[in-house]
Amino acid sequence: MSKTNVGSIITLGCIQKILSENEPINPVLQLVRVNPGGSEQGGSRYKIGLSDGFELIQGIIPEHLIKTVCNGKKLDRGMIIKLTNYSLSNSVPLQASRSSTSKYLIILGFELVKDVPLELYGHLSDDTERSRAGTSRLPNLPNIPNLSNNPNQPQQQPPPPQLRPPVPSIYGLNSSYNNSTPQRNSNTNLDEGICSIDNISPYHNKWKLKAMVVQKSDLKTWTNSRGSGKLFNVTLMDNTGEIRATAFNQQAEEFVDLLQLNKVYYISKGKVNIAKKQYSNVQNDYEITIEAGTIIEPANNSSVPIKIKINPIKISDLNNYEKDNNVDVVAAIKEISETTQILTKNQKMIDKRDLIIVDESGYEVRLTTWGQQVNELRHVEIGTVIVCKSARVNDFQGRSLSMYGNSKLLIDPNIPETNSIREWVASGGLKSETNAFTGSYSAGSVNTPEKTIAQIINENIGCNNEKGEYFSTRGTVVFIKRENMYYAACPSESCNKKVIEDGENSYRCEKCSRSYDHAEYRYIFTMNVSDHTDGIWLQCFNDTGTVIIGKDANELINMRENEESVFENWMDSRYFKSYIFKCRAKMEIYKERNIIKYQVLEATPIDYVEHGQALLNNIKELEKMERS
Amino acid sequence: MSKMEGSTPRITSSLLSKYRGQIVRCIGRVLNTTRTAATLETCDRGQVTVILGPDNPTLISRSNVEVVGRVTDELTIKEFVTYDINDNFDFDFYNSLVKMSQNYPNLFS
Repeated sequence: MSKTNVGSIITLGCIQKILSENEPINPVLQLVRVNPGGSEQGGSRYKIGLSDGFELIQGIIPEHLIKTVCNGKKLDRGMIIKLTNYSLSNSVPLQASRSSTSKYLIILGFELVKDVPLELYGHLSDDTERSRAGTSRLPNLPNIPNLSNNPNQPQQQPPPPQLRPPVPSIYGLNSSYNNSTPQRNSNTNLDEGICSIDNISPYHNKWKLKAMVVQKSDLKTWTNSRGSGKLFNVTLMDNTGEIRATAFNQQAEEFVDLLQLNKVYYISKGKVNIAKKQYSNVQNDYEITIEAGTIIEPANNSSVPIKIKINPIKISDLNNYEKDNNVDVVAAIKEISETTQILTKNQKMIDKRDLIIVDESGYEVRLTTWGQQVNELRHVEIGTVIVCKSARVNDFQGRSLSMYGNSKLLIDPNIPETNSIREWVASGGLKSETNAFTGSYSAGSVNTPEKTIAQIINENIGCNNEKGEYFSTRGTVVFIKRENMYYAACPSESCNKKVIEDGENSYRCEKCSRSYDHAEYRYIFTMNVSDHTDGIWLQCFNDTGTVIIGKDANELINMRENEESVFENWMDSRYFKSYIFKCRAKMEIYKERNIIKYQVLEATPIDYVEHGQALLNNIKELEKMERS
Repeated sequence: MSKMEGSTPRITSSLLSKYRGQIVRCIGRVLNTTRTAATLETCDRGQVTVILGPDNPTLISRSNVEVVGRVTDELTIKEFVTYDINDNFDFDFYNSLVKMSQNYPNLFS
C-alpha cells in the first residue's frame, strides 16, 4: 500500500485560522476521534476530533449527514474529510473561573477526501498557551514536510525535533527538603526517554512520564442504566505542567493503592484522550486513561520538580474578594478541629474538618475541608504549612474559605512560595496575635440560617421545600399552652408510640404488641415565642420540651396532680426565658388547609456574655461602617 | 442637657465627674467595708467610695453589688439602695457596654 503523504492533503494549520475567525473555505482535516453521540433533540450527532497537523479541535456532525455522505460506510479515525459547511461555536463554560470557553465546530456539510483510514499525521502544539518558550519535539515523528503547497502557512514551531533534556531540579521534592543539590535518580536508565507532560498528545503512544501525584480522588462507584463501575483519578505534575489520569474498574482496583499522594511514579502506555474539562480543572487539553496495558512504577526516593501556578493572596485581603470567588493562599495551620460527619442533602454522610489558618499578614481565617481532603489532612499538626489552590470564599462569619471538589490542597509542599511563611513560623509567627473576620454574629449556620420571627413569617419559610426548611432564631418564651402538653408513651426503649389505656394500670402499645403496667409521659406542646419583630407558635417534643420546662414530663405531671400551686409557680417561672431555637418549618395539611408548622429541634439557653460580646462586635462593625 | 426623669445612668469610676450631683448606678466588687462606708472596685479597674445609707445593711466583702445613689461633690456615691449581683459577672464585658452606651446618649441618657 503506497504511503500517502497526509501532510500534503490536509490543510495544515487551518485550525488557528478557524479559531481566529478567518473562516478558511473548505479546510481539509484528518479525523482523530469518532464518537457516536447520544441522541439529542433533532436526531443523534457524532462527536469528532479533527487534526490539522498541528492541533486538534472538536466537532459535531449530525448522524444523518454522515449517512448521506459516507453512503453507508463508517466514519473512522484516520480518514480525511473536507469541511464544506461549518461554523464555529462556543461551548458553555463549564467552570466560570477555570478553563476558558472551548470552541468547537458544527459541521453541516463535508466531503470524504480519503475514505480509508490513514496514519495519523503530525504532532501537535498546545493551541492557546500559558506560554512556554520553545516547545520541544519528539524524536520519532516525521519531520515537518515542505510547505510549498501552503506558502501562507505560518510555521509555529522551531524546526528540528529534539527531546528537551530533563531540567535539573531547582526545588526537589523528596522528604529532606531544602536540599539544594540537584537530585538525579542514580538509576539513570529509568530516566531515559522521559517525556514531559506538556508533550503528551494522542499522537504519541510511546511516552513515558515521571511525575508526582499531587491530587488523588476517592475510589468512586457509580451505577446507571448501563451498569455499574468504579473509578478514581489522580493529577500528575512535573516541571512542565499537569495532567489528569483516570483508572476505571479493574485498573482502578489495581492501582488505587499503588498511587499515593506526593509520591513520584514512572507511567507509560496509557491512553491519551481529549480532556473532559467538566470533571476537573486540571490545566491540560488532554488526559490519560489508565488501561490494562498501562505500566506504573514507583520512582523511589526520586525527586521531581513540580510546576505549580499559584497566585497567593494575603488572608488580610480576603475582604476584597466577594463570596464565591476562588483564591489561592499559602498559610500555616493555627488550630485543628475534630472531624465531624455531616449529612448532605443527598442523604450521604461526608467528613468535614475545619482548620484555622494564618499567614504573615497577621490575619486568621477558617478553612473548611470535606471528604477526601479531610483524609489528606490526617497527619498535619499546628504549624504545618499548606497551600490552597482555588479555595472558595464565603461570607460566613465575615470571611471564610472552603475547599470544594476542584480546590487543591498541598500539604507542606516544597515550593519557593512557601519559603517566607516557613521563616515566619520558625520565628514564632504563630504565637503572635492575629485578627479574625468577625462579620455578623449568627446563631445559625450555612444550613440553618438565622432569621427574625418577622422574617420567618414574611418569607414563608417552609413553603419552598417539601421536606421542610431549617432555620434558627433567638426568642423568648411568652406562653405555653397548658392543654395536651404531654402524651402517654410506650416505656420500652426507643419506641415512643402513644399507648392506650386498656385497663387499670395497663397501657397497650400497638407497635410492640403488648401491654405495660405504666407509661412514660413525653412532652408535645406548643408555645408562643416572641422577639422584637413578631411572635410565632413553635411545637416542642420531649427533648426540647424538657429544656424549656426544666423538668421531665413525668415529674411535671406528678407536680400538677399533687401540688397544684407549686405547679403554677413553676410554670410561671419558665416564662420570659430566652433561647436560641433551631427549627424546621414544614407545610402540613390540617383540616383541608395548608398550614406551616414549626417544630423545635434544639433549644439552647442563651449564654448572655457570649451572646452579648457578639452583639457588641456587631455594633462596632456597624459603627466602623458608618464612619467610613 | 436635661436628664430624663428617673433615669439612672450606669457608670464606672471614670465617669463619676460627669454625673456630679446626679443619681447613678454603679456595679463593682466590694473591696472593703465598714458600717458607714465601703470601697468598690468598678468595672474599669478604678475605685469608688460608697457612703452607706444609715439603715441599710452592711455590704459583704468580695461580693458583686450594684449601688444606686447620688454622686457627691467629692466624687463619692451616697448610697440609696444596693442590689446583689451574681458572682460570675463579666466585668470587662460590662465595661465595654458602659463605654458604648456613652456613645448613644439619646438611648441611655
